[in-house]
Amino acid sequence: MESGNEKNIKDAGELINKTRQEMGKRIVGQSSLVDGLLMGIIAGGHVLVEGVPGLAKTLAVKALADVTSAMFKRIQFTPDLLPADLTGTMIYRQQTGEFVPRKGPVFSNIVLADEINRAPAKVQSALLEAMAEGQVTIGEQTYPLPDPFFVMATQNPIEQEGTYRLPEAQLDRFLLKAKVDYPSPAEELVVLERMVDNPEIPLLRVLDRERVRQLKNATETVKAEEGIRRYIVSLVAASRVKDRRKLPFTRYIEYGASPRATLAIYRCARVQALFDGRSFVLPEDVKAVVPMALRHRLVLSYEAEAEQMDSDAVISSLLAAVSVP
Amino acid sequence: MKSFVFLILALTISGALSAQAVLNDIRFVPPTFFVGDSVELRITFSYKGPLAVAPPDSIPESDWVDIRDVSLIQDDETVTVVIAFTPFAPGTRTLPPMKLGALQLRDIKVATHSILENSHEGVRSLRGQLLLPGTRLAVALILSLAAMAPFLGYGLFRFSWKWIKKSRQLYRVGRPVRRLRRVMKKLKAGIGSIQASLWYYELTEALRAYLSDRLNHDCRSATTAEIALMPEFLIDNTPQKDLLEVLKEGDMVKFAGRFADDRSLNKILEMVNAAVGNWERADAQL
Repeated sequence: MESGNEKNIKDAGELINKTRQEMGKRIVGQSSLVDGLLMGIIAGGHVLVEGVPGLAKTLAVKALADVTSAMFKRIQFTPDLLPADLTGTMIYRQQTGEFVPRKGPVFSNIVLADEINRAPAKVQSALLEAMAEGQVTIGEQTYPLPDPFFVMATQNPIEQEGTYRLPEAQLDRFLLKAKVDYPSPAEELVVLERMVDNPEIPLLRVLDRERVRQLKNATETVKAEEGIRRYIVSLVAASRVKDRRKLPFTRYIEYGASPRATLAIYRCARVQALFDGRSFVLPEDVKAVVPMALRHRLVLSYEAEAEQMDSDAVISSLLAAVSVP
Repeated sequence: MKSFVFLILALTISGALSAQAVLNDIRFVPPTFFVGDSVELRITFSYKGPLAVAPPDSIPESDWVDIRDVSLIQDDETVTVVIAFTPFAPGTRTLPPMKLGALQLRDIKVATHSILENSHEGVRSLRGQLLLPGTRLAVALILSLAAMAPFLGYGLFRFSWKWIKKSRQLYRVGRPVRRLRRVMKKLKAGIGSIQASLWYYELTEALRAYLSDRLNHDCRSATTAEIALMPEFLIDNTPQKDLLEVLKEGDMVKFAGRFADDRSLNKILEMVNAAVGNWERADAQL
């Protein structure tokens, strides 16, 4: 006989699959991006997406907003954007003769910060502060952000001229970083057939605020045994080892991951288990989420750059160096 | 070789006592000798009454023989004359007469052999000369050994190195299974006293180490799902498949909190033991 917890997990798994299917109507392939977005919204974190233009990054977020019946705002980051354009400002109302707050686009459930690295640091900071605190201060008043509050920021790995690279401390605020790659020819053919005739495919609203909360609650019930927790800590600790003889790959790492990374892996691994309809975390769940959770948190060394090693290659070495429980 | 000695001895015993001495024995040592050999001639007489014999005053000389010594061995009844000589001419010749007190030796014939006589088949082939004249066998052997020592040493080193290498290989091949069996022995003793999840942590760690060594894949950092995708684990009814089942069961106990009683742990150990045994035997037959 099924226990209550197992039923919740099963229901959550089914709901996630249904959401995937709905999003799949618009997004062909890009399963890691779709899973990353869902993981972010369920784990209560924010997602940074990196990919060249035209890979359905914006479309994916819009699709997510459409299936969640949530308030969605898209902010195009530009060099002349100001923090107040994002968070809001106090405006003078002539009729009453007083200053009233005018909330910015950040007051939404789902915010797409498009090309976040094109805005200057003060704008990035304003958004990242909202992401970290879950509240925004306008004038002397602090306003809580709506629940759920989910930010997906995109950045383009090419065209680096005139951009403002996100500082490492701010990158750390993103729960995970998804990389979007080109679709396969077969997937691209499906995109062609689907989008040419019917670019706006209607989606069912399978997620609402209550269901998102249900998913979050179900995630909370997913067990991660001590062995799993130790494994996560070992992985993050290995990224900070300075002894090159012990772990040769560490020469590619200037700064390892922070304890925030440990928490991120833990949260994401539980959601990953939920994706598979399991009430417990396995080492494969941890391994599946480590690249997404660590790739923006590792500061690579000059040697890595010289040898054209990217963070994913370093993370592969890291995963190969730590024994699974 | 046909050899015989012709000896015609005419003895004239002079004086009044001559009739009392009787010739008993004449012996050449060696019986057959060749030109240049050292020979000893022993002539033994018996006598009655007093017999005054003495070594010659001077050793007679001859152009065909070199008489080196003449000595007497006398007791109450017999006297032996010992003549040491070296002949230098083949054929039968007469020793020069010599006076030994009351005795006088004359016409003593000595037959000296020659390697050219008898067969008349020409010069014989030389006998194998092992050593240079005057060389001692021991010195030759020591020198030969010294000359061969580096080669012998090298050969011995090669043989020893091969043997050590083979032994090391055998030791290494057997090391993973020995290590796993050690852990299994410890775990068998620990059934009932160790918590099932901790028991499985230890077993799966040892199993992963064993698989890593046997397959040359890194199974220590591979999850069960990743191991299941390795080619060796894709075929059914193999020891590898059984070990994979153990890993899966271990994951369930370790991470999902599945209950495992002592009986099931014993069964798992038997399963691992059988699978590993089958695997090792199958590999040994290859």
